[in-house]
Amino acid sequence: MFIPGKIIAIFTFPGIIVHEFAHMIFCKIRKVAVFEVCYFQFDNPQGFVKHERTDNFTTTFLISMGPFLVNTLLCLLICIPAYLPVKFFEIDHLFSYFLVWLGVSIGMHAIPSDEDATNIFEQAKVSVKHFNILAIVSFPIIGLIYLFNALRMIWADLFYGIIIGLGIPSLLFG
Amino acid sequence: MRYKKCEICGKRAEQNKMVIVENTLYCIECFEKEFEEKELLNGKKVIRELDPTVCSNCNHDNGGEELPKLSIYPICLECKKVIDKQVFPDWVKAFIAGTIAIIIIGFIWNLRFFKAYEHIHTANTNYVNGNYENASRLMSLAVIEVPEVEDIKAMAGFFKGIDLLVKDSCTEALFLFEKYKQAIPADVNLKSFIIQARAGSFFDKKNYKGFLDASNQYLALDSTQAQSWAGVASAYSCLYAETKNEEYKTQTYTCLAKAMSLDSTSKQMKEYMNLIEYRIYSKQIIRREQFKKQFPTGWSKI
Ligand SMILES: [Zn+2]
Ligand SMILES: [Zn+2]
Repeated sequence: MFIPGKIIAIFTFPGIIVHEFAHMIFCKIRKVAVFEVCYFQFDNPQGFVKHERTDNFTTTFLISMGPFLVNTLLCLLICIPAYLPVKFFEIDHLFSYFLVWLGVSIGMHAIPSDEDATNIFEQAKVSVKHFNILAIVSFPIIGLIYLFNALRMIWADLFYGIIIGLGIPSLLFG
Repeated sequence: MRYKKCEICGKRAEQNKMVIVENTLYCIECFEKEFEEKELLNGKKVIRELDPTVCSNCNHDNGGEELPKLSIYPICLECKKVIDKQVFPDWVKAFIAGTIAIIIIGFIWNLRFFKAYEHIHTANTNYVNGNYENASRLMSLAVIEVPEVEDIKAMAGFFKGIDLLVKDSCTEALFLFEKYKQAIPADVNLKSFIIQARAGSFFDKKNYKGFLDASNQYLALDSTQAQSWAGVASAYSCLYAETKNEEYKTQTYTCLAKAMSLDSTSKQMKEYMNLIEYRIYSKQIIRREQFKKQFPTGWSKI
């Protein structure tokens, strides 16, 4: 089933806001100047962060991968309390379903975009010449990000959100 | 605004309009003249000079005083305010605060489910380890946390039933098993517990024919256990004590022999057989606890 990105964006808007917030917060942590942020819009891209260029690979890596850490963590923290009533005790409660929607929406936008991956890739090519370990490790990660984004066509983002939001709690609580 | 001296022509120029190429300071005119061909800059380190007293966003001149910096860029307070607002607007602050609040509320709101889960988990461990009293108590605590879940109520009833069964309160145990039998999962083998409770309940009511019938049903479920044969032997011994019919005595010894062939060493089995032998000899039907109290070191014919 094909649903335009704009429709998905509307239903999962908290994930986009958190994704851009994660980029922004890692800019602040790494003391990189941020000039402009769009947290949500209907046009493509649905959000962006314009920040100062940096030659530090770790900084670029953290800023680009920020959403992976922040969105995944928030998805898990929001979904864990809802898991027991919904799946373990099978109690229907609106608030629990709201938590699942919010958590999975945020989890769906955890994977860095192709632009984020390209940012890492461009700098990794330079840093790898200086035998930067993180740069070496980042190549397979970049590959996985491109692959994942291609698979968004078949709902890879939704599956990721569900695996984090419901799969991990099911491992914790059985 | 600050001025610096060009290291090429020696003229004073605005610092913001100067460039450092490989540690040499150029004014903009000298820079453009020297590097007219852009290729000349290849491989060279080029840095634009930044006047710390001029805002790099709005060009506001702060006189002699240095401005705060955004990364390396001097920024006036007005611009900093605007950029901060744009970069982290109030509605995003509210959204993030709201999300954190929802996480906290989510955990508090659903705390009872975590508690119930913990109680159920520990109750099951206690049940597996044979600590039925604790298992029953913990499962009842889980029911208090999630009273709306019927399955948990049924499991609490079942654990309570098992606890009563091992304490020989068979009639009460049977009542609980019957009450919740629809909701108890199939894998707990409720049928055998119901038969045991029924046997005990018949014994309590001195209905020894019913006791024999239930004991035979239990034997039919599992004839590989000494306990099953001893149960039937016990029922026959009660009938013998009641009726003095020798046939029942013969049946008692037949079943006892079968039980002995399966287990003649365990303490529990030895005690049980001793009780049956006493019953045959004395034609008195007393409960196990009473027997233990009366003959703490066991009974013998002398
Ligand atoms: Zn000059
Ligand atoms: Zn300014």
